Amino acid sequence: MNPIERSLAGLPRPEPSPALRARILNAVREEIARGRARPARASLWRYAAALAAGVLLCANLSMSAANHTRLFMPPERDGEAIRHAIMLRAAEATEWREWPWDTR
Amino acid sequence: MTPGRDDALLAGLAAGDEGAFAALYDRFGARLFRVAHAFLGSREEAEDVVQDVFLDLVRSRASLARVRDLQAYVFASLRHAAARRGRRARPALADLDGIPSREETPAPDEERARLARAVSALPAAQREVLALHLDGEMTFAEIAATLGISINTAASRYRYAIEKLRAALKGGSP
Repeated sequence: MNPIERSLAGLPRPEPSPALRARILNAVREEIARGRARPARASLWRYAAALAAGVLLCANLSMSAANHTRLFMPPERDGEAIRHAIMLRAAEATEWREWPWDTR
Repeated sequence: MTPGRDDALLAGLAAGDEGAFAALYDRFGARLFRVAHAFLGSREEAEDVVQDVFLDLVRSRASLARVRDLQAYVFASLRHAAARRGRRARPALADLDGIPSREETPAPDEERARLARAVSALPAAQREVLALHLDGEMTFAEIAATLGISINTAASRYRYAIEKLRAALKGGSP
């Protein structure tokens, strides 16, 4: 060790106050408790959101059942179905013959 | 460094075990305070910065399992916390220029006062290595791991600092 290093080593070095340990550990304890409270609050909100989503789904399904909505099927309008039926029946009754103006 | 000991301590810290934080303070608290004091030049600020380091550790404890060198991690956190506190307006954390060093340290005689002034006048990078070596009681390898530099660079910065201090004291001006 050279003289400069000896002088540097001889400079007074402050020590932390004895209360610092307790102060820091108290702050650590509070921060840990805060961190544990945070997920509990978050899970409460998650539970409320899931409950609300469930209620909405049930309401939607019961409305569908009440209106005889056919789930998982393409929507079919009554008017359209009747039109198809009339056309099919008309096709059955049609007598196909050559038209006089057909020159083929 | 004892990896086994660090692993157990890191596991305790990651689990939020208060006893692990107490053990961490007993192991590093005084050295962290002295280095913080060397960086900031104020007892109150040094104590606040050490507390910041511990609170940062609590908040980021989930990622502590990935830490390989606890001492380097803790002192790097201190460096960031000190830069945050000392230079809130400046983004460059490594630039610690202007941070009062030992000037507030009462010097019992003229030579010590001159030495303290000369240390304060050193470039930040050299003063940082000096503080980690003298106040943090760290080897150059440990300083290198903390600062993310090579061991040779850490040793060079220390050597340049000592040479500058010698020249300043020989010349009679800091």
